[in-house]
Amino acid sequence: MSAKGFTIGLVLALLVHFTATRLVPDFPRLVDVFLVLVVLNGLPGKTLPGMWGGLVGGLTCDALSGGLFGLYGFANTLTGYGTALVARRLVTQRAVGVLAVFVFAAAFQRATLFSLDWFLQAGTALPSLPWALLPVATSSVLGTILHGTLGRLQKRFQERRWRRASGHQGKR
Amino acid sequence: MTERRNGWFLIALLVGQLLLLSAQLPDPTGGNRLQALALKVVAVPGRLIAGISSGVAGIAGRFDSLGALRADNGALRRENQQLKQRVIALQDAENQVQRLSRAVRYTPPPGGDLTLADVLYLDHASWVRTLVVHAPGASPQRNAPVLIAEGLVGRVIVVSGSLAKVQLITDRAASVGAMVQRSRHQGVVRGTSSGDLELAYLPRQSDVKVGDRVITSGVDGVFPRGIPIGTVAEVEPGNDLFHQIRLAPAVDFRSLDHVYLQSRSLDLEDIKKAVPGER
Repeated sequence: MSAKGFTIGLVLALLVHFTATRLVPDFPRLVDVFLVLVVLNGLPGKTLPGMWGGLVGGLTCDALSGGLFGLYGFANTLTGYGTALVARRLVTQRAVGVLAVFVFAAAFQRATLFSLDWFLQAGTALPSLPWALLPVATSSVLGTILHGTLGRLQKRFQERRWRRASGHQGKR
Repeated sequence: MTERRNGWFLIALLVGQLLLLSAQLPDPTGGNRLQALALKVVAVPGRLIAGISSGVAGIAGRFDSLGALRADNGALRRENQQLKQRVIALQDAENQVQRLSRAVRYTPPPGGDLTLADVLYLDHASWVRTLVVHAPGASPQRNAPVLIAEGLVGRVIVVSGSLAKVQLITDRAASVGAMVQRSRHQGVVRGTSSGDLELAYLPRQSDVKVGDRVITSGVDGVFPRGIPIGTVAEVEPGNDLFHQIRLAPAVDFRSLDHVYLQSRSLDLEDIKKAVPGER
């Protein structure tokens, strides 16, 4: 994903997050839209953009949350980097491969987040296991569907461009 | 070679963030400039959504039937009459309290001014519970109590111009000095990881029962005395020393659209300075 694409994605993620939280107050408990964006950004397998995307997405999350500032930034930087590494080793052309990357990334982010919080603020209670795992499942499914849809749209767009280009050549 | 460089880059980024995190540790809710700046940037789409939402609500409101408005008007007029009578009774009571206060030379604690603020973003459901509010033309103070007519909402933890981030009382890191209104026994209200409220450190011998109202005690130096926090929903024996008490919050956090920021007449640092032996 290009820097421009990531920026547009971030603005869209913010809009979706704000709107959905207004309509369904429990939305942040169910889906982490910023994580979906970070994983989509890391799926091409490039570690540097994955890392940067993770940092920016995480700090955006931190700006909205009330805990230690930088907690999500740390977890999502690692997740973005890890996603890029894992995506190189899996076949991400298939939906199963993409789902596997999303599940790995979401579980890894949650584990990093909770262990870091437990380490830094020993004694604070962590969410129960079902509530901790729910966003892993929902974000993974949503991310896989979104990746598939974006892929199809991109393919259709490219085909149309190719047809237009070949049409112009035929007329000449 | 590039991968190796990226690896070093990742380590540098992570170490930098760990330093940022550890710098906040003595005061986990202490806002810094970076957080305030991030809040300002991120709040832009929030204000946009809030504006669109109130615009849509305004358009939808115009379609309300005239009959319903008339019925509402009638009900409000009746309520207004009852409230006027209640105000007269309360004014009598206030005068009586003032006379008695003068007699025993008691000075009540000063109450702060209230500033209305729009709720831009409310996250009461996730792991950390926060609220982002916008008070046009005002500059919120850090640690200012945030409340609505029903009760206490939280306190301001980060300020960025007219924007403020509020820590809800249901946040697991929040704690409020509280007391049972009926028996005046004091404890601490804390948020739990499941989003509920609990009243902690209330001794086993203290008198508390389901349905008791719990209000702020004013001893924490942040929240003034007498703001409703919730109602006792469950009392269990707990461990040897203290009750285990679950509270039903006085505020419905799902339906917040406006809140009041109370200006603080006393700063926590001033209170600390006034206490003998404190620096």
